[in-house]
Amino acid sequence: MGFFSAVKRIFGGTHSAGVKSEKAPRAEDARQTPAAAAAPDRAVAAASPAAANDEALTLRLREAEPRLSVWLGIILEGVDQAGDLLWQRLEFLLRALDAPAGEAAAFVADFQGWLARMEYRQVEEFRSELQYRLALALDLEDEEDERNRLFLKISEGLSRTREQFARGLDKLFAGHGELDEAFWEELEELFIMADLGYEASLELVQRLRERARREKVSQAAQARELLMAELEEIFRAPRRIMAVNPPEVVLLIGVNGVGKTTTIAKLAHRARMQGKTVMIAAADTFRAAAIEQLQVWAERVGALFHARPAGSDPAAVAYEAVDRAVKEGVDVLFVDTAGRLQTKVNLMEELTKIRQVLGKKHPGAPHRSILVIDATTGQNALSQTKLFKEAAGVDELILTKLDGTAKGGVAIAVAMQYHLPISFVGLGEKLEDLRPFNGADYARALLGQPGGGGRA
Amino acid sequence: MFESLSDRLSGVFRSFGGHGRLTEENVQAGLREVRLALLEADVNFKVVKDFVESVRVKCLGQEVLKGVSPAQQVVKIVHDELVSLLGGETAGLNLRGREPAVIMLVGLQGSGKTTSAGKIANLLRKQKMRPYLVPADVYRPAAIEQLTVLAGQLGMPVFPSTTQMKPVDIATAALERARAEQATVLLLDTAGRLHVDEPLMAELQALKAAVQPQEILFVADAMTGQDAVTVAETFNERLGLTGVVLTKMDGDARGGAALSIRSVTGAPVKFVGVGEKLSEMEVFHPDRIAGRILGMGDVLTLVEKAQSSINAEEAEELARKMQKASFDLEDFRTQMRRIKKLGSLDSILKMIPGLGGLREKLAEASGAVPEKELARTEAIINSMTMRERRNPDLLNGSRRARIAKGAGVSVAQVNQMVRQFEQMRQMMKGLMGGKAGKSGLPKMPRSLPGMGGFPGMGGLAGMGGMPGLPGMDGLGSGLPGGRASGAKSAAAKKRKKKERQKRRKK
Repeated sequence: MGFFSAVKRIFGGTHSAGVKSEKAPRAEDARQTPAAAAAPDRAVAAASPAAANDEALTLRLREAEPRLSVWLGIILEGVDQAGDLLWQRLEFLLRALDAPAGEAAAFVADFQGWLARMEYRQVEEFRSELQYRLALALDLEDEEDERNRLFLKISEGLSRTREQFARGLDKLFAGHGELDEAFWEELEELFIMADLGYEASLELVQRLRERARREKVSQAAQARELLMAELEEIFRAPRRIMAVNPPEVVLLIGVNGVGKTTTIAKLAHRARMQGKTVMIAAADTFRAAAIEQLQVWAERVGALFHARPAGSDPAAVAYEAVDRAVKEGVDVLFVDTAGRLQTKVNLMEELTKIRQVLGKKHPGAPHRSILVIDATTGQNALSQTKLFKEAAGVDELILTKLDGTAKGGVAIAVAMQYHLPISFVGLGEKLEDLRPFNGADYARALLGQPGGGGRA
Repeated sequence: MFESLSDRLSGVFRSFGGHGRLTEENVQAGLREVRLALLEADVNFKVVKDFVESVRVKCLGQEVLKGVSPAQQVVKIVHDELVSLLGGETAGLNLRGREPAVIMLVGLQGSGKTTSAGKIANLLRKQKMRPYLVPADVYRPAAIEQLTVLAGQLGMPVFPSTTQMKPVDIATAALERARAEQATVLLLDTAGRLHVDEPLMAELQALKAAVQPQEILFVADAMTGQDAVTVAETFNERLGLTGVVLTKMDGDARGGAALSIRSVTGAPVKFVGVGEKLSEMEVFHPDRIAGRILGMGDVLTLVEKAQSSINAEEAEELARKMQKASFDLEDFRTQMRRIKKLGSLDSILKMIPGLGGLREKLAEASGAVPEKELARTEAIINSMTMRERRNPDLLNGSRRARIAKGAGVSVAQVNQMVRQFEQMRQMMKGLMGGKAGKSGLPKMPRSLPGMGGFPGMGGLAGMGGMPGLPGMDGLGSGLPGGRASGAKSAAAKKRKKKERQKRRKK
């Protein structure tokens, strides 16, 4: 249970006020202006009886740049593998950040358990997971620090692909002086190669031309900014009501093999790290061993699990799961569904039924219906979005396997045509590799302008 | 969204007037359409470039054959070129040599390796082989269980792998075991991996060295986009692929990836996954997929599908009825149900060349999903007695009121449906009366354009066994317009009629 999110809840006023309330304001400060709260007085007080070593650390933490990665770097100095020293240091950091001792211990114990399961020993093997967990527990994910990690990860993926989009763009931007016909044509080709599809490429180029005219840009060198601004606009998601009547019900849908089950595991992991209680319902009763796969994940991330034998009616599984989730008062219920091709009418009707059943049992459910799309998919993603939207409604998209291709250009086409927000992207196989999607960062990574911190 | 290539090309060539020759100018314009069609089908950009160039060379200077329009000629050249690029003939597995033969399945995550392993095993058993399944995916949770369950469903032996074992150890031990159990072919299912994942790619090479597979099949998702090339290239460089399995072809993906993969690796597509059931794996036919990539429909598959759900005697009986216009509402309903069995109306129309455009017009004209209209029509017929169905003339006012009540529609809708059925029957009579083939079987109405020059289209003779189609053709216009005014649907019908005449002229 992440202590800071518990604190945050108190602040939100939705849950049990009380016990930790006197710490809440300070925690909130820590979130908004980490500089001021880098090492609150009490942390120093707590550290003072400890060894001189600790004092030196405290001093360094106070002087350091208030960033999670920097703090972690200081804490992990001289620690190269899991062991008592690491646990000590971790608790020290958490104490310094004003966490209640009990919850700090729980965090450390939870992490120890995870390390044992994964059989990791060396710091380098788990450093990024540790930072991820801390960021979630401390609610620091929106910080530049974390967003940079996302950016780096996407860029890393990009650099691996040989015919990379960014390199082509660089050449294009450098090779043309004026924005002439040849430039636009080459740009269109590049878009097509990134899976944008013909029509979307045409439209995007058209929009860029207009933007260039509007902003009186005539040099190819400035086209990068145009494109970046345009992409940001395409990915700008409209504001939505995020508050829900608990339990929040999240339905995952998509074609076969896009990674729905793994994505559920990752989402559940996130929610757990944010201190929520989670239940997973295995409504994929069709694919062989899908239930077992999900059960393994549920155990790993510490989520409740609801299933019926293979071959059961998926809508019935969903119904019972909501029932149980309401009774047991869980915060989030994730419903996995069997992969289905969008052209199978019967299967799409089954999805409609699942949706209706969820809504009947719990008003407002599913609060989020997420379409999972494989980033390597080509133009078919458009057809997927259209038909799934008709059958089950789609509120947001998750783009998986972006690490393999790092193009995912079809996401741009989908966003242009259907105006759906992309909430997360899958950047690898590890649990921490599901990252919140930020259009601006993605555009920056895709267009290959490395370095530099925050939002433009 | 997708127009078929032949429709587009005819548009282009029409604008050039009746040239009897393919010139630099008109070919250039035509090839632009070819290029777009291929890109929309997700064929890799670079592959498209090379392909278009080779077609251009072939096109230039060719005399347009008699009775064929320039558009048809180009489509034929493109089609032939595609088929030859895709491998020309159907390629089978090469399992000669040592027993048990080893087939190794590799690919990205989620491409469908495990399911394909089960399906191929099933196919091989039908060819009197004794398959042995070996799960070697020790990473994804429950992947081993998945293959074990599939093996159980097929009643096939499977190696008891565990996640503690190393894939190479699994493979070597399984080979021993398969030999002892006298299996003739071993199917090795590997974990999905990214082509850029160095350790895992090295593991595949080690696996290959350990079991010396006769076949290394690359399993690829038919929906893959431009990146298919990069992925397949890397797998091929590391392992030397011998074939490709294209999965999820039962969806609406055009499968352009097949062409990309083939052209960069040289490995032929050997199997195509066409459904979720273990029996739904087919041997690959280059000409069919060529048609699909070009958006020309997939008539052969439709014919096969239709033949499997309609038997020949019934078809002849129906044909006779149509000719005599004794085709009644009961027959109509039977046909409608058959069509439903073939899949969604949309997917059927898509398989018929040249009808792609009709789909949209249909939706436009009826202002609703055709499926819904079909359901309503069926409900109306269901509410009739058998006598009424056999003899629609019986339908007087009070009967119609009763039917409307029973079907939950208005009397006007019943009237409209009956009227349209009557029109359809007349139309059919005209169609069948004039054009019935020598055998007395209905030929496909010649509203299907651009079929003259196609290889494999000879199979269309088999269309005789497909009365569902003429029925449907009628349906297209006979579809009750629902809330849309009669005038509107009449206009749509006129448009369609015109179109048909146009096509007939060709």
